[in-house]
Amino acid sequence: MDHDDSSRPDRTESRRAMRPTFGELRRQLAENGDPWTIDPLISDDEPLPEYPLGGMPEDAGERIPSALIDPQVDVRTIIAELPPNDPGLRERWAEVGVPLDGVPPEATSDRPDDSGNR
Amino acid sequence: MNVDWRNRNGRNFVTSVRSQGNAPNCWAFAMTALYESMIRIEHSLWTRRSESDVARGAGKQAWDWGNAGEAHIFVERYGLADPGCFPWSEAAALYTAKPHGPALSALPMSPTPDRPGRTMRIRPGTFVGLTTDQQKKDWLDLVGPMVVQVPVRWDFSAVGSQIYTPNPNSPIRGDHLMLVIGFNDTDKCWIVKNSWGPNWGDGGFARIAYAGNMLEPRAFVGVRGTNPDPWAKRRQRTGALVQGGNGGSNNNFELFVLVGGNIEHWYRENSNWQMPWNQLGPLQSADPWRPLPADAVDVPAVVQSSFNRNYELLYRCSESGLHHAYFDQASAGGSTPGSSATRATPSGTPSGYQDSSRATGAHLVTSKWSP
Repeated sequence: MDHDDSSRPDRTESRRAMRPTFGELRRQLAENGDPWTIDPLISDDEPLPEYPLGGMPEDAGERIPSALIDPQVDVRTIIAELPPNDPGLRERWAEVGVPLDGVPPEATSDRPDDSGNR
Repeated sequence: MNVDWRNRNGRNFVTSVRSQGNAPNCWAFAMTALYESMIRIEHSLWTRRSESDVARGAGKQAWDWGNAGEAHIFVERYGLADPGCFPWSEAAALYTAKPHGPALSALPMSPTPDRPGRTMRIRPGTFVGLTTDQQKKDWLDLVGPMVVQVPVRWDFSAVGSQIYTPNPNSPIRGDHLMLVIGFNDTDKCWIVKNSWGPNWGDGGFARIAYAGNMLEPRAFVGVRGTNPDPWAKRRQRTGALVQGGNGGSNNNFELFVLVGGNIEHWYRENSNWQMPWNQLGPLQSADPWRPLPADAVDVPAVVQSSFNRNYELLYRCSESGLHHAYFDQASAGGSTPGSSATRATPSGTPSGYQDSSRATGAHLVTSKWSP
């Protein structure tokens, strides 16, 4: 089916009109004393580019249960089970005292390998 | 403490900057970038994965928004294919496993039928979310990059090479996912890789000030336990059996076995319906003045390399440590089985394998094998 776009408001133009311009942002940055500035080659009249986003609010999509780690947990205890192969990373682990034998510092895991990654 | 995965110990672990075009699929791009970096870190491999595969596989089209959890649930269950299997596109796609063929060619895109064999897989239960700055920095330092979902303001579109601080007067546009590839405590900023192409920010990357409190309130998610697909690992295969390019159908099996200190070369002629195994005999030096001693103690590790498709063999010897031998396919004169196979040429390294053995020009004489 053909759509007659002539009867519709020009959404592109209206959206473009809503977009802040580089000039407005320059003024905001100056007023706020922000430490970063806009490329001087960009004119004030030019609207800010509207790059696409895509982050659905986290409570609206599927979540992975128990993925969040307790804030009190030391990351080094949860990563020790899978030591790195990269030599630079292994050196770094040794520097900060993470064991490289696959045994977590304060806990051992007797969970069988159910990864299916063969 | 400073971490930047673009340069850790002189090596880069971050893949190229991409553009999500006009699609609100940042979540797929950020997670794909994460998997690619983790493969690089965990396996020292560069591999390109498909943003479309994770997005369309998760049941989303180019106009759909999403989050990291959705992407990872799909990847954990079904893996993540390469763009050759299912390329990035903003067109509507019917994501099915139906075989391709003339009758189905009019259907919207779907992955190639060999998708299961070309997907990166990942160990279940290795997706974590971290909330404190110390946890996030520890992970970034000791494991790898992480993905964050944050509300972005209009001014984020104008970021350049300077350290960005969100302007509170700039309206919020919505949530966006990016890959955090490091932090810099000296400059007091996070370093992110975006999916708005290389013309945004500083070559597609940006630095975001701690003072802006933009990333701090949000959880960072990370993954571990990547398992690259065989194609990505093609140059790392070792074993005594390889499928080479010889034979009537260019797909013979080549087998190397240990027999009394010698390495014997066998091949299966796959173009013959009976698929017979043929014995080419023990490896012998192409240089008659430097015979190959029968001192092998292990079955060799074998790979068909990108050097003229040569077969490269590495095996342990009782007298001379590791030994490297190769079959020069370039001088084999074609793909006729058996008759065109060449003799092994030992590198003659007395105390271990040296990659430069061929570069020295030593022992490069090859000879055709005759039964």
